[in-house]
Amino acid sequence: MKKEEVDQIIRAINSQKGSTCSHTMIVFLKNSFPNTSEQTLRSIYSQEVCRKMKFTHGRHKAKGAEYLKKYMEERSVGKSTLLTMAADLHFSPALLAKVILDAMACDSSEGTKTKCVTNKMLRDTSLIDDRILAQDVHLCVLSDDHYGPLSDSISHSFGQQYEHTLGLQLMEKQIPFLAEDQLRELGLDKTPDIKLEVPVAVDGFVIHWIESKALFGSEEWHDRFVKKQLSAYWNRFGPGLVIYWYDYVDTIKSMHEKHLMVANCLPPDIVMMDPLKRP
Amino acid sequence: MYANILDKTLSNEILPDDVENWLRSRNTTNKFLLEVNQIEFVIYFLSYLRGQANFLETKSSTTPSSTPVKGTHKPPSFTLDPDSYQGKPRRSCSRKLPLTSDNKNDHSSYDANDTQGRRKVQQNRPVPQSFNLASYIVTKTSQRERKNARANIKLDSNIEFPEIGSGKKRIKPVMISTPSKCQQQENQAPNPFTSAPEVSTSDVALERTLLKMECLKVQKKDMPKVCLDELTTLSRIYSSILNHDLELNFMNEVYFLTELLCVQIKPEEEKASEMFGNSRNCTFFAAKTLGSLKNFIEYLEPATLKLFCESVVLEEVCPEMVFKLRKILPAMQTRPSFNLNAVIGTQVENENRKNFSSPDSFQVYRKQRDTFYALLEAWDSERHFTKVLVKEVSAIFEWTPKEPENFAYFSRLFVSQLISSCIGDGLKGAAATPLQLQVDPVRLKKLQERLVTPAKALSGPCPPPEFSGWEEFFRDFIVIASNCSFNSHLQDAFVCRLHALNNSKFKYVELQSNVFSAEDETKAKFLACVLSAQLVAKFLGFLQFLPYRSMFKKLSEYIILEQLTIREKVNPVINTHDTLATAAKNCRLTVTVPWLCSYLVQMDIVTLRMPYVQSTISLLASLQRSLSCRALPGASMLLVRLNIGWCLTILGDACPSLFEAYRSVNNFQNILKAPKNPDYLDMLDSKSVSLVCPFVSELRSLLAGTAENVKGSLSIGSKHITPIAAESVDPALQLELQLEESFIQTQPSSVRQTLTFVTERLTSLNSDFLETDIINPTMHELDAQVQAKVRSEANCLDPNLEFSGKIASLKQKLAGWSSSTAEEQSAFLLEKCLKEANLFILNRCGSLLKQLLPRTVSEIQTNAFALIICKNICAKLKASIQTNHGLKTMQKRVKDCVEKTAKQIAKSAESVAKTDLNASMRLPADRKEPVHLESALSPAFTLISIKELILQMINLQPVAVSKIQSVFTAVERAICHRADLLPDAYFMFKPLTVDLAIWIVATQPETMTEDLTNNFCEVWSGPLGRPDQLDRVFCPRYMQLLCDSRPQKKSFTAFKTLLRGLLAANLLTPEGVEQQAIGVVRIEWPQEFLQMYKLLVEDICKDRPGSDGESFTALLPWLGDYCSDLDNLPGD
Repeated sequence: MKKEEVDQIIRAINSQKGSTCSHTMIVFLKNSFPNTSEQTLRSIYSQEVCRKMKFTHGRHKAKGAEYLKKYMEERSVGKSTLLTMAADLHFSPALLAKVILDAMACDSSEGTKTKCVTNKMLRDTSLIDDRILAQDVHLCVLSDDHYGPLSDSISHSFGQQYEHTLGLQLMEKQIPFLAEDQLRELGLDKTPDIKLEVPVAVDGFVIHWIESKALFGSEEWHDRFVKKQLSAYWNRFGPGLVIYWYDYVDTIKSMHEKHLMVANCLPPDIVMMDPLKRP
Repeated sequence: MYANILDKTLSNEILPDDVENWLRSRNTTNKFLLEVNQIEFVIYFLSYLRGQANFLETKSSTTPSSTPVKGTHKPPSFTLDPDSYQGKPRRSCSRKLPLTSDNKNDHSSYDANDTQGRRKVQQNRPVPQSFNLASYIVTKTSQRERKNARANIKLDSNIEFPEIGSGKKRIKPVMISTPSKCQQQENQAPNPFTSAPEVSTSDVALERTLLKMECLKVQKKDMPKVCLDELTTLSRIYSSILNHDLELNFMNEVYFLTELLCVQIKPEEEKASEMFGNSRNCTFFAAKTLGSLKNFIEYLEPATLKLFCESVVLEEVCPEMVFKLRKILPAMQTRPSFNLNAVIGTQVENENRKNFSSPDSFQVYRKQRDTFYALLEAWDSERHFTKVLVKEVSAIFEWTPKEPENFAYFSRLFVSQLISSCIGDGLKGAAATPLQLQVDPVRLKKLQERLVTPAKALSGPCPPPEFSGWEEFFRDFIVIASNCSFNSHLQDAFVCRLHALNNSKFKYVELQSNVFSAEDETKAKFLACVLSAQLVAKFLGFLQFLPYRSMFKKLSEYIILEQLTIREKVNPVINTHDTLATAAKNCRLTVTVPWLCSYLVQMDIVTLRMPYVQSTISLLASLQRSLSCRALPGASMLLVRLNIGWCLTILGDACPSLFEAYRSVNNFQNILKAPKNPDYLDMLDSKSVSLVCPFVSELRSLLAGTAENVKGSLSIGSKHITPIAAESVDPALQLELQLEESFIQTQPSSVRQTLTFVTERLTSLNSDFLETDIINPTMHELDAQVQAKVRSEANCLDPNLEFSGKIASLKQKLAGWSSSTAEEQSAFLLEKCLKEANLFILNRCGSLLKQLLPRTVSEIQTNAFALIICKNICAKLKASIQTNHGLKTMQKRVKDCVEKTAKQIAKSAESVAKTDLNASMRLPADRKEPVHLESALSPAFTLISIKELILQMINLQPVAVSKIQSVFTAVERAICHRADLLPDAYFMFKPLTVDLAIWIVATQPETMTEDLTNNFCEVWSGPLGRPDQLDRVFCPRYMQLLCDSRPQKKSFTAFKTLLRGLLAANLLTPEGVEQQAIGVVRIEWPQEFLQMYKLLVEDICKDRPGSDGESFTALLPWLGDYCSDLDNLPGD
């Protein structure tokens, strides 16, 4: 996808002032960009939300006690729920729920509630003693498309789904590979989704491993992946391929071209090593 | 005395032949020569030549002079005192005798105090300078010489006092007869990439060449006969000295000759009385001497040779040399190819969790490795260590735990990456370049080097050691890290690698009896080994002697002795003397000498005074003297000679025993030659020499910089580099080779070694097998066939024909048949050999590899290895068969056989074709995954669908039962038929389905029928498993949902149905319900809710009247009563 097009989508997202629910935003984007797939639009929107949250999360987190107090006050007069509060603050509902739960844990005289317990509560709201808070947290987790355990599970499942699809496609093409868990069994410290047992070539580029990403490949995310993950694969196994299933912005192709090849699907014209081809 | 000898030789009183013989063998009958020491005469002679050519100092602005030579028209006085000899200031770096150097005690361009790792490139590099008056003040020339020199100063001379801007600006002739073009260009916008139109360069060059040649002829004719004879005599003596290793630094002498060759003296400055008083004499002498060194010169780098070939003077004076060089030039275009893998792949067998003392140390190593490569990347773009990078280097060694294995592994990675980056660097980019561009990686590397390396000034024939390109990164890394643990481990790693490289074995092939050679592959391996060892030794020296390096060039004798006393007690890391002696004994000088010299020149002043180093230097000097007795192949000889010369020149001053070693005469006749050892395998060529001895490029720079007498006007230094491959290689083939190389290179070293071993063994076995089973029988059959044919043809011949007539007739008749038979047999043999070899190798290769390779290597990889090995051996085999049993050989054999048989008759009145090796790379069979159905809804979509249903109910939108039931199916299928189900999603299904049930109860209770309850229970008792949330089915949130529901009664009824179902399906136990139910009343609830709750509890109690021993305890009835009591509370 061209950078101009991505910029246009981001501008459209930012043009929607106020709190817009995910569903409404996706419908709006689908209407505005009919040629772009829904998954791509969702992914770009999700990344944009995450980008904004990254800047504000710290600030909101620091105000946990204040928010808890405000929530309790408004709840006692039956005015507000966590969802409305999150909308007012332009903050992710699941993250707000977590901030509130954390603040409660800090307040707790027992002092036994830890971060782990908070996460457990987010995942299973039936563990929360406060029934109204439990219901609010439950609604926050349900309605958040970008953060929270449910959203994480869904995105991880999508990731796994595409990873599996990639494995199937490779098997179809008779390309032998080792999956992540097999590599882990070997005791490797860094494990790409797919480590090709025998390297292959795509467009004259030799590939030793493949990483599957069920999201849109923006410059920011790609760079982050390269720094945290992909460069480690490169320095261990050599050059590789990263697949952004929800497409990618064309500028990232040249960002680390020495080490990586970028695609939005498994390239059809894969050349396999065949020593018998040699004259 | 020496002056006398030389005078007598020049005046033919002593025959030059006698002098030459004396220099060669030290045997002479001449009474004058008997009286003098050979080496001291050599020293005198070389000084004499420098004295004669003193003007070079003033002429050459590019000379890396330190102390200029003063004008001496007569042979200078010479003392035999070695110290005074060494201290002679008259010799500059380029012209002085080998034992002096201005670089003494300053062997590295690195400043130890520069903690930021910045390089001081220019500081130690000789800066081009011209002759000046100050030189007269500081030198120790004799009074007489000084007077002469002063007398020679001419203020109006353009040489001593050149005009500003009167450098070497070239004026290109511009064709003025093309005004139209010029006018056109004037009208156009100026384009910086287009030059003014010129006359045809080739025409001008040709005219110039012809003119120069004519001038030379005239000049030669004009040259006085005496002068010509004297110069010839001098040249003969000089050649004898150089050809018999009597000089200490060959490079110095060749450089001096090249300077003479390029010299230009203006007519008004010519001095008739001097030997080198004019350009003609200089160039004649230089060309004549260089001509006699052609056996060495031909191993210089191709670009230098090209410039020598283009030298008009050389062509005129020594045409046979130029002819020889021109002949060998095209064959020198082969480039060495290095391993393209710039990144050191992870070594699974070593770098895994099991080989670290704790998971934490493994994590630290992981971080260290990643940061190191991030640093490499960042440095590559910056080409220096920025503040951020410096911090990152320090951070690498700050992570805890700092276990020894972390340092050891990291050091090993460091060494491997050092070799990969510095010897095969720049090629990683090429490897990633699309093949369609046809990029030549070697050219690309050159271009990259030019772009990132600052232009160098001329450094002279003996430049000090320096770190350039990627070496800077590694050097600065060591300095910035300044970590004693790392340094110790790194030193160990360097020593270990150095030992391994020094003891590398090289395969040889027996060509004839006692004549051995090496294959191209071995040659490449040898070169890589020599370069790697040189690099590792340089860094080992740098690391080891870094703490001893002083910022002062000279230390007082007291300090040196004090330090010596202490350090003499410490064992050296490398016993240089023994290593060198062993190398000399085993004929491995070409391997050991380059790295040993690199190591020695890194030593500090005190270390150089240590006895073991002194003895090493002495041994080096004596080796230099004995080289000609070893009869090494030309390139090997030159390589050793250049390296020792360079090293001794740099270290000369620090080693007082050098002069004695140089003078001492050993019994060189006892040197044993081992033709199978590296020195005699002739594994080097000119390119290798220039790679191992980079300073030889100084000659090229000198020639290119003063290319007045060279035909082409284009300076080599500014030659354009186009990184496009000249030869068109089949992209598919290139890609295949790249894939194979990449595949092999990413394997652990043990695997690679095994592959090499298997390849070598199988090649040998296969050769024996083919020779005995295929080639010999085929040849016998061919002979038999030819004999039968000849005999049958002979029967048809006229019996009356004479002997010779019969033979001629038979040969004529069988000419066509012979040719076609030879062709057929050649092809047949090749095909049969390849076919049999394929079978032979594959049958053995698979089983061998399975036994030898570690278990971590999969069957697919083993098969791929087997195929690659098979193909490689077959490729070699094909080349070997085509050479030894090719068409021409076969034709000759048939022809010989025909002739032989015909003679016999007359006297008595008389291949590995391709097998179907589709050992397909089978997919791994051990993948244990559920039967994946693509039609089943994926876990992600199942989660979304449940979420959507709940959201719909929250928004009070009715949900059809069928939709809910479809969720059950989806969950079941996602669990049973989706291989991409993550535990994360699996565990998310549980709370979500419980939530779904509660939301149904709360928002559309009528839907929660027994059937639906049963559906839920089936899922929870089936593939999904019992959710933990059922243990909290009475939790406050669910109760709150029931509390908020309207009408409450219906919701409670639905909840009751659900509970009944759960109890019936044993998903809940009465005890569990009892515990949960009690928990509800601990919280305050509205009265309405409590009433409904009471009814719920009562109903459950009724339903479970205590049958089957699973009855509710008395607590539930009590709870019912308690809730009833709540109804009767006052105030309600």
